[in-house]
Amino acid sequence: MKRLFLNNWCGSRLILAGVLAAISLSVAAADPYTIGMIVPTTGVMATVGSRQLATVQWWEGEVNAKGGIKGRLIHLITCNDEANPEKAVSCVRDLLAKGAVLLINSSVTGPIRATMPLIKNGPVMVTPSPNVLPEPNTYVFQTSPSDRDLTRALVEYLHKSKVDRIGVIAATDASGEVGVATVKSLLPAESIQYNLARIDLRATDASIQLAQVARSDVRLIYSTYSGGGAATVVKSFNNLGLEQPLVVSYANISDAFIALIKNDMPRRLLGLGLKGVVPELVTDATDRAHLESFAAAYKKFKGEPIDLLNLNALNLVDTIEAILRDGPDPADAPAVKAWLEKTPIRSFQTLRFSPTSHVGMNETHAAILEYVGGRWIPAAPMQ
Amino acid sequence: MNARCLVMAFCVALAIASPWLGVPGWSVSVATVAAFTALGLIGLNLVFGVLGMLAFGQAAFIAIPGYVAGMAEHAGLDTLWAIALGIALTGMIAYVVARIFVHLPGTYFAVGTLGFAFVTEGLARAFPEWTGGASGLVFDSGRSLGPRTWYWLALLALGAGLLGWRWIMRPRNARRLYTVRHDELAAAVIGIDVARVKVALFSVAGLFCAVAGIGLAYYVGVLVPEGAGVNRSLEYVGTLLLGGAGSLLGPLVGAALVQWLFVVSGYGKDYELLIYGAAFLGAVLYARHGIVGLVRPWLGKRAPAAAAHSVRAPTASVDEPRAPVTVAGAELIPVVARAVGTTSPTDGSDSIRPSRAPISALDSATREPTLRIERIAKNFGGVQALRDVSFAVSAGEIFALVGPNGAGKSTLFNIISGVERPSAGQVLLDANDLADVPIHRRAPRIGRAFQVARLVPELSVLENLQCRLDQIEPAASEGVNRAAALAQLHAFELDALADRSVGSLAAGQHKLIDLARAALGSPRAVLLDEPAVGLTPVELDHLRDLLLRLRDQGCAVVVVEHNIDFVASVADRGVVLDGGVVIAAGEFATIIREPAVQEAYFGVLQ
Amino acid sequence: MNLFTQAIFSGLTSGAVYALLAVGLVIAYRTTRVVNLAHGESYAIAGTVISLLDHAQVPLPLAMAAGIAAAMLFLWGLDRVILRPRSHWPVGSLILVTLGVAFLSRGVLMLAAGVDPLSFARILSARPVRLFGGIIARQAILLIVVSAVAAIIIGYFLARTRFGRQLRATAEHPEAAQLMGVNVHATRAVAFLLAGALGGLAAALLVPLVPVDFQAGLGMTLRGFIAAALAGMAPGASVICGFLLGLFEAFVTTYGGALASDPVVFLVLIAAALWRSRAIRFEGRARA
Repeated sequence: MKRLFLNNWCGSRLILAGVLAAISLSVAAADPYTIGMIVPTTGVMATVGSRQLATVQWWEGEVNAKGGIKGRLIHLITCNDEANPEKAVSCVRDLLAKGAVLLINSSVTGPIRATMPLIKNGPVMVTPSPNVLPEPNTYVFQTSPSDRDLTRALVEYLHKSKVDRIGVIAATDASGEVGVATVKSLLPAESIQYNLARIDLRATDASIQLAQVARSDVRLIYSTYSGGGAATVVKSFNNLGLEQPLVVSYANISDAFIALIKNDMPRRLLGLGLKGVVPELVTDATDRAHLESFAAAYKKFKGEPIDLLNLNALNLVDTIEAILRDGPDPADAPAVKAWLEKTPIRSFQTLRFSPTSHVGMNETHAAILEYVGGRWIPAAPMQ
Repeated sequence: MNARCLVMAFCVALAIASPWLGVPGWSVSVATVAAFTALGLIGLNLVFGVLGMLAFGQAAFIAIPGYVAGMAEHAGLDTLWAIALGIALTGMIAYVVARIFVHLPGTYFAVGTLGFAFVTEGLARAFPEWTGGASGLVFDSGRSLGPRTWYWLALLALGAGLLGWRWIMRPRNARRLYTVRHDELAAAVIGIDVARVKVALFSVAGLFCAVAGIGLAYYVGVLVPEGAGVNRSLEYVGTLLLGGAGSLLGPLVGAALVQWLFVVSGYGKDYELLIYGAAFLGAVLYARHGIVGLVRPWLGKRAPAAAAHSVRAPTASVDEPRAPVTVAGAELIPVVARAVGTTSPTDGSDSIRPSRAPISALDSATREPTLRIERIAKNFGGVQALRDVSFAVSAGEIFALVGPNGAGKSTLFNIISGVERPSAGQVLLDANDLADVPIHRRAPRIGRAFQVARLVPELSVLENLQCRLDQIEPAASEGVNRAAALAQLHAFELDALADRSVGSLAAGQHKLIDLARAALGSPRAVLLDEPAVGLTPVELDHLRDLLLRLRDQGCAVVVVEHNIDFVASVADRGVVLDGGVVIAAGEFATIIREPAVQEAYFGVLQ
Repeated sequence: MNLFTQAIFSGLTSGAVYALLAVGLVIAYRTTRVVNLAHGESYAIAGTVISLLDHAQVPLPLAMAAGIAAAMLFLWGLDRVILRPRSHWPVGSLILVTLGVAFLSRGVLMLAAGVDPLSFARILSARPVRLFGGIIARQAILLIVVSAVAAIIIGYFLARTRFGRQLRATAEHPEAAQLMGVNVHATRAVAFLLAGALGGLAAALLVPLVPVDFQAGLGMTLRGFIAAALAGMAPGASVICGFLLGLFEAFVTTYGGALASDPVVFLVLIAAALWRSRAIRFEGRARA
C-alpha cells in the first residue's frame, strides 16, 4: 500500500515539477523599478479595471520610451484579482515576491481592504477607490475624495436645488455597504430625508427598488451602485418612466457605462465626479495643460477619449512618478510614506496627503456633473 | 525496491522544496494556498470523484468553518477554540445536509447542494454586523505566523488529508464505495446501507473541507460571501476534474496547476477564461481521469479506480477455500462449495438437507416454509400492480414465478427484497415479518440476481463477490472473505475469471457471476430474475446444474423465467401471475397445463 | 406607486424569462435526460450577437434573426457534435460536459465582445404604461405576452402533435422509441433547435431591458433550472413555475429586501426539491 501511495505521489509530482521548470523565464532586466498592479480585468468589475490598466500601461510605455526615470526603466507587473478579495491577497503576496517596490491597487472596495493588512511593513500602495479610508499609520494612500466627501458635494447640490428628500439605491456588495453607511451618517445631519433600497448584484431588474424609493415627494434618485451592473438601475429607471434626475456613482462616469445605457438615458443623468472630467473646471494652467496632453496622448494610444476611470489611473501614475522622480528610494517604505505625507502631488488636480490623512482629495475636487449632448458638464441646480 | 523508495523520497522532497526551486510564479504563498485548496478538494473528491454525487455546493463547507471561527473569535473566544468550534460545527452541518439530501436522486441532489451554497452565500451577505457582509470577514490572528510556518502547516494538513484518503479508500471500503457509485440498488441488495455510506462519506468530506477552510481563511486573512457560493463550488469541481477526479493525486495536481496558472495568467489576460474553459471541457471529454489519468499510462500504472484497491491480502491462497473456515461461529464455506465438500452442516436445522430427495414429494404444508408471501398488494398511484398474492416457498425447493410481461413479477421481487414497500400484506422469512427490515438488512438472508446482471464493471470478478461478503460477514478478515469468494468462483467454475475486470466479460458470464454473488454466504432464499435469458445452450446446462445444487443445499430458490422449457426442467412448484393476480398455483408441471394459464400466458406469448 | 402592483409587474417580467429558459431546458432534458448547464449560453450568445450587430449598424430585425439563429445553432451543435456521440455516457458525466461547454462559451464570448455589458434598442420604446397603480414598460408587456403565448403553443405542440408524442417517447425509452419508428436523432435535433430559439427569443426581448455580458449564461441556466426543477421537469408546469418563481422573488425583494431574497428563495427551492423527489428513489442509472 505504501509503495503504491508513494509511487503515485512521485509520478505526478515529478511531472508537475518538470512542467514548472520548463517554463522558467528569466526576467532579470537591468535594474528597473518594479511596480506591481492589482487590477480586475475579468469579472463584474472588469469595466473599472480595464481602463485603469490601459492607462497605467500607456504610462509605462511613455516613461520607458523616454529612457525611464533617473535612468531606470519601469517594469510593470500586473495581477488580475477578478475583484475577488482572496485572489487580491494572493496577488499582493505574489507581486511582493516578484520584488515590487510600489503597489497600485485598482480593484474595488472589498479586495482593496483585504490587501491592506498585508503591507503593514510596506511597500507603499496607492488606490483610487473613494470607499477606502486608509489609516494614517498605514502605507496605503488613496488618491480620490472619500465617499463621504463626494456625497458632501451631492448634499451641497441638493441644498442649492432646495431638495430635502431623495431616493437612494445601494448594491448589496461592499461598495453598497459603504454607500449606505455614508448616507445614514451624513444626510440626516444635513436635514435631508432619504428612502433607501438595496439591490442584489445579480439582479436583472431594479424596478421594485426604484418603486420603493421613488415616491412622489422624492425629487432626485441617487444610485451608489458602481460597475457595469448599475446599468440595471438606469434601465429600470427608464422602464418605470421616472422623471426625476438620476445621479450615478463615481465609478460610472465612464464612456463604457454611457455606451451601455445610451438607449435608456434618463431625462437628466447626473454623476458624482471630479472637476478634472470637465477641463474648464480645472483653473490652474499647468494642471489643465497636463490634463489636455494626457487626453491627447491617450487618444493616440488607445483611440478613445478619456473618462473618469482614466483620470483615476492618471492620479495613481502621477503619484508613482512623483515618488520615483523626486522622492526617496521607493524600497524605503517609511521614507516614502513620510515624503508623501508632506509633499503635494501635481496631477490634473493637486493631491495633498498629510500625517493625519491618507486621502489625497476632498470635496473641493469633487463636482456634480451632468451628461448633456455627449459630454459631461457641471450640473445646473434643479428648478 | 530500495532504489524506488529512494526515488520516491526524492520526489516528495522535490515537491516540498518546489517553492524554492525558482519556478516563476510558484512561491511559498502560492504553494500554501494550493496545499489548503488541495485538502478541500480531497473532501470534494470523496463525494464527487468516488461516489459520483453531483456536489455543486462544496464551497459552502470551505467557507462555513471560517465564518464560524471568525465570528466566534470576534465574540471573544480563543483562536484555537474558535477553530475547533468551526470545524466541529461544519462537520455537524455536513451531516445534517447529507441526511436531508442523501435520498435525492442525482439531478435533485445537484439542485439541493446548489441551493445550499446560495443560502450560505446569501446569509453571509445578509448579516454584515456578524459576517462582515460583502466586504468580508477579516482574520488577524493568522498573520502572526510566518510564511514558512504556514507552508509547513499546510503541508502537514495536506499530508494528514492524503493519509486520511488512503485510510478511507482501504480495499474493503473502496469496493463498497465503487459499488454504491455504480449502482445504488444493486449495492443495497447485496447488503450495503447506501444511505449510511453516503451520509458518512459526505460528513467526512465536510471535515476535510472544514480543515482546509480554516487554513484558507486564516492564511488569506479574509473571507467573502462569494467564497461560499455556487461559482466557487463549480470552480472547485473544475479544478478537481482537471487534476483527476477519483484519484489520490488529482486534487493536488488540480489545485497546484490552477493556483499557479492564476499567478502566471498575467501573461494570458483575455485568454485566461478561454484556456480554463477549454481545459475543463477537454478534461471531461477526453481525459476522464484528468491530468493524473493522462500521466499514469507513461508510468505504467493502472487506472485510479482499480489502483485504489489492487492490494491483495497475502494470507489467502487459491488452495485454501476447500477447507471450512469458521469465523466468529459463523460457517463461511460458500453455499455450493459446501454441497460438494466433505463436511456436512452441523447446526441441526432441518432446512438444510444433504441429499437430493425430490422436493415435490414433501408435503410442504407440514413444515414452516422459508419464504412466505401473505396477501401482498401493491398500488402505484391508481394502478394496482399486485392484488392479494400469497404463496410459500420451502427450503430446498425451486419455485417458479411465471406470467406475461407486466404481470407484477418484478414488483413482487422488489417487495421481497425490500426495494418497494407493499401496500398491504406481509413478507415472512423463517416466520419473521420483514416489514421493517430495510433492503440491506435482508441481504444476508436473501440473495438476488438481476435480469441484467448488475455488477460493478470497474472491479474484478473476485472483488464483486468479495463486496457482498464484506457486508454479510463484516467481522471476517480480508483474507477469509477473499478465500470464501474464490471458493464460490471455483464452485461456479469461474475460477479463471477471478482477476478479470467485469467490464471485459460477456453478458452470459455476467449472469453466472451475478448468480454466484447472490448465492454467497448461505442465504435462506435466492431470487433469480430471468437467469436463462441470453445464455448459450452450454451455459443453460451449467445454470440448471447450479440451480439444482443450490436447491440441494437447502436454499429456497425463486425463479422468474420466460423460458418455460427451462423452468419446467428445474422447478418443483410455482405460481402464475396475470395482471397482478395469482391465476394458478401448485406443482409446476400441473399448473402450466391449466386452461386459464394457457390462455393468459401462452396465448400472449405465441 | 403601488408597491404590490409593481412587485407583480416586476415578477411577471423576470418570470417570463425564467419560463422561456425553463421550457427550453426541459424540452432538451426530456430527449436526453441531461440537464444542459450550457442552456443559458444560448441567451448570452443571442444577446451578444444582437448587440454587436446592432452596434455595427445592422438593422435590428436582421440582427435579432441572426442572434436567435446563432443560439439555435449553438445548442444544435452542442447536441450533434458533443452530446449525441456520447449518449452512452452516464448522465452525471454529460452534465459536466455541458458545464465545460458553458465555461468555454464564456471564454469565447469574452474574447469576442469584451467584458463590458452589452445592450441594444428596444422594439417598443414608447412611454411605459400606467396600470393599476403600477408602471410597466411596453417591452416588458411584450416579453410577458410572447413568453405566455410561446408556452401555450409549445404545450399544445407537445401534447397534441406527433412530434410531441415522439419527444415524450424518446425521453421515456429511446430504444423503444427507435423500434417504434421514431427518428430519435431528428427528435433530439428539433428539441435542441427549439430550446435555442426560446433562449434566443428571451435574449432578443430582455436584453434591451437588462444588459447582457459574457458571464450571463450560467446565471440564466440556474434560474431556468430552478423553475424547471420545481416543475419536476415537465414542460407545461415549468412555464407556470417560471412565472411563480419570478413573482415569489419579486415579493420577497419587495417585502423582505434584496438581502433576504437569496436565502429565502433557495430555501424554498431546497424544500421543493425534497418534496418533488420524495417518491423517487434509485432514479436514472440504477433503474433496471
